[in-house]
Amino acid sequence: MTPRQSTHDPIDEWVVETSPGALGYAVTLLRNREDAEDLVHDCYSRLLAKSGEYNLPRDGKKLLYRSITNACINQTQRRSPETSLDQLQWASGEDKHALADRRTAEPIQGAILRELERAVAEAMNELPVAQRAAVELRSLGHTMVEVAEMLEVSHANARVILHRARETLAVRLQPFIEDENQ
Amino acid sequence: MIDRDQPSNDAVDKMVREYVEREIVAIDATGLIARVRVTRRQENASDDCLPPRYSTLKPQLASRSRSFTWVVVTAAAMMLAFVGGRYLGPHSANASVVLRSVQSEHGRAVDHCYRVQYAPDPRYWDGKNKLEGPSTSTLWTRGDRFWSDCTMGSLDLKLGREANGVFWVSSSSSKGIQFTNDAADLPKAVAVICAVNSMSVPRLMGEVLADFDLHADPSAQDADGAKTLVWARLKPGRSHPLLSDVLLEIDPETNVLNRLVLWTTRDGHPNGTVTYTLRESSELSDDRYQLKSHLVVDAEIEVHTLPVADVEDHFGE
Repeated sequence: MTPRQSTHDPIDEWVVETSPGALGYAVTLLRNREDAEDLVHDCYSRLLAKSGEYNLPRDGKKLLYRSITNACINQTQRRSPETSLDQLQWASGEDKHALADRRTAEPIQGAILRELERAVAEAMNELPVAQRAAVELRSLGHTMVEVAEMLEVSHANARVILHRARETLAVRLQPFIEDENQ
Repeated sequence: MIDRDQPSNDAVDKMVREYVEREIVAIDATGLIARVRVTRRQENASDDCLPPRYSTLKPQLASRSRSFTWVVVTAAAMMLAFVGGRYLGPHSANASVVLRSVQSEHGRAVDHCYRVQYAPDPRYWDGKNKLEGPSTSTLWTRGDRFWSDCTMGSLDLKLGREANGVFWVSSSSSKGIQFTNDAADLPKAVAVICAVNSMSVPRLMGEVLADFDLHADPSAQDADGAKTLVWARLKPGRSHPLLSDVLLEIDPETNVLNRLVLWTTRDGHPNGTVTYTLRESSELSDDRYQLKSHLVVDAEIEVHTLPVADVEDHFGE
């Protein structure tokens, strides 16, 4: 469901195009939908304030993800260790947003798929936010140079962060990886 | 350490990619897009100037908290106005009905707790002055009462409005300040801030709410219809010293205001956004809305009645 505007506006189109991905990414890092929307809105505001300096339709996505990544890391590290019911639900793997089309899947396949989705969600939630960001950005096709820039760390540090994330996930998801490799 | 040399990395990346893509596909970004559009529209805003900030508090408190106080007081006040006030715009029957229900619900003796976030407009904040930077607070409201615990950097500030209308501020448990001005005696800009805290002041409707159009946005409901959005926007040609736009997100089943976003203005330009997010609704002791409950027993309480001349100096009237 995307609002439409009648006039051609490249920046508005850029916002419409990038906002679901940006918001979804922030949600996975913060694990709170409302916090994520507030944060992403702030990031858009900062970028739009400099729309005269940047070509947002061309370069804005990387800038946006960099801004979101930093803001999410800052917010997560600043936040007190309180746990909401939403977070508990999220951490428990009750993935209310799971979208796999289970209507067409065989019952057993659907069960396996749900189990995998829960396992991935749980494993991701156990990662520190910087590791979560690194592995998500990398899986979405960003280069290591871009990941390092978005995390605002050196290239070497980014590789270490990514390596640790993958290592943890590989251990946690080992049974599923083995199934996939068979 | 060559990650790509490990076959498991590809499998891990694939699983992570599918996980992220599921989240993205499930996201409804309608509300976010609408908020970003409002922010963009504000670039051309040319509203009346907001007068300089209130600075008649005691020096230490005033110097550290005046901008934040303005933001929080204004924001809290505006939320109370919209929740409890007679906010019945003539241009959208649906929106009016929705807000009547919200008004009724929030008129009950139920305490609602909101997290309040202030995000300054990056074009007008230099990023250095922390006093004008982002802030977070916890706001409790009941009818026309409120109290807020605000954190901004190292500053912890509590402020509120008691049942008798007295507004108070405290920067430590050993000292508090109460303000007892009659809103009718205050200059306009100050009166607006006071008036929006008072649900019984008809002037509030005339000065604060009459300039806004209401618009319910049914297209922005969740897929399961779990929320209703109402926009309040300045009517064409109108101006307001504090606000340009307001977004209310309402739970249609409970009529509780789940979220409120205020686009504020200051000195004729966008000042930033204040976002309220409902955290809980419960029953709070009456004492919590009183200054004394936030102070130690032998704390010093100053009572201020602001000299109108001083206030006018600061507010440009």
